[in-house]
Amino acid sequence: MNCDQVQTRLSEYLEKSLEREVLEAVESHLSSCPRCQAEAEFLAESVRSVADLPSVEPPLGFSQRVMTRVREEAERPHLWQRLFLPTSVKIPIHAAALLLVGGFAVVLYQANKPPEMQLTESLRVEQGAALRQALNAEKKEKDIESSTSTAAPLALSEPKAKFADEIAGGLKRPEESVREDRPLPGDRRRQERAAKKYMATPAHPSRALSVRPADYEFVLAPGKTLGATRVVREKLDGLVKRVQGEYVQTKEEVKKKKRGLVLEPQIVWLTLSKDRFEQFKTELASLGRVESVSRLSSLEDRPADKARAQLRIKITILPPKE
Amino acid sequence: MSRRPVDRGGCERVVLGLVFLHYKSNVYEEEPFRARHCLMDHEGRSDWEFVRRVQAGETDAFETLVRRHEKAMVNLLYRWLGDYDEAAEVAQEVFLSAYRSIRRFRGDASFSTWLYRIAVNHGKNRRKSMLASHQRMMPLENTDPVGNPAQDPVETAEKAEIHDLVQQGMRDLKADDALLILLHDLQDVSYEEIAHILNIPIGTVKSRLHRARQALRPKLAPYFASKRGQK
Repeated sequence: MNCDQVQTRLSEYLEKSLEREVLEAVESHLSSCPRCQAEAEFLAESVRSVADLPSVEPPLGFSQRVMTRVREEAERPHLWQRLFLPTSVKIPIHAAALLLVGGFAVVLYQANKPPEMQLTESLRVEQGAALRQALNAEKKEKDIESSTSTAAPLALSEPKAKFADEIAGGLKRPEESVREDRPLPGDRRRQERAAKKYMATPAHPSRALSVRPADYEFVLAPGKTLGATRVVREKLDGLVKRVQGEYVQTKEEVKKKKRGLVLEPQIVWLTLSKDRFEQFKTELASLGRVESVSRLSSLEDRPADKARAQLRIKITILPPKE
Repeated sequence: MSRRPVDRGGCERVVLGLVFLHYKSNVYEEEPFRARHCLMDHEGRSDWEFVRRVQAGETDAFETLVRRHEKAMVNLLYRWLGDYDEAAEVAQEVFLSAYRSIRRFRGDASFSTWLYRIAVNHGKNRRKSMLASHQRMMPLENTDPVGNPAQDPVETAEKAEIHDLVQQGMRDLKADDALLILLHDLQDVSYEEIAHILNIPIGTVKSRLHRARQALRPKLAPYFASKRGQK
């Protein structure tokens, strides 16, 4: 055994826990190596000095203090007891709190509903209203046919007035516009005026979008590169100018455009004169691949739309595919 | 030949329970670990008996356990933390914590091992926060028992010096190294029990203890060298 091997075994040697053979080897080395012997003595002394540390007594009344706290602990009700006892008081409190939190969550959800859902809802409401109106109109026509009443002109203009009224009501909650009955004859003119004004210049684009969907929707797939999207966007700007269309954009969309965020689909809303639509459609097809065209609101079915000269168009420019 | 206690799983417990019913005395003889390490009072009542009574709701039975182990806990923590008041406070927390979780104690190890384990956890946190706050961890002069007045004053002074040096060494060592030295050399806890307390293999306990002792060596070297020089 060399010095290193012996020194790693010194602790066990001092505790006499070495096996006989190893013990003999260590002892024979120590008898011939003064350095290792000194090391062994030194280690023994330091172990002894730790063992010789005088023991201290716990502070007076230590166990009594511990037991006081232990007894307090033992007498204290458990967590579940603290939470649910007395049940006659705490259960109703918990139930009320739960209801309050639930209600608050529902209110928050309603308040922060994504705009897409609002759009769908308003669309549904409008469709429902249009259907009801069509039925009304049919009924009125039958009435006219069956009688030669003086109220015939009023009945003929009824659907149009009603739809104008509905659009005017679009600024209110959608449910209200559905629930609203026939307007009083005196109010009709004012409401028509309000509706026309609203259609011509929406008070705020985002609110306008949530009230009325696009008349036409295009999806454009420009190409595979980032540059293609930018070029298409520029060409579209030119086209819109040529056909005297007008962008309807929220502030966020304008900002996005400036930042050139082209990796996500870009949605562009614009209004366009009805007679320019065919030209616009043809030229749009030359800009890039038009993947789909859909008509959301029915022009023919709604008398108010027939009268409207401006079309609302939504164009989705897809990002470049990898 | 003592058998190393093992952490028995659920299945093993059932099997052992059945064996216990048939060969009650034999199995009892094969459980020397708990029997050997449990302190007994003059009536031969073990820690385990008191633990069972506390578990059954007899809070006062816990006092016996506190009295049996308070000195060991306070001493270990005092030497490890280097501050008597802190040690007493932590020891109190250790017992309180043991009481809170005594229902989970199943007797797989001895009560003292279990208590040491709690003390190690509490002490480690306190030592860390004390070192972080740069608090001086020096033994209080008046806390260490004064040597026998009949003894030689020179010898008494020498002892005080080496005690201070050891205490200083404990402060400077790593927390685990100091703990190993204190458990084994001061508290005379076996390798087997230390392995249980620290949840490491016995071989590791031995090698780490040797390393810790060697780390303490240079702290005490000047004292022993000067003592030899005097001789």
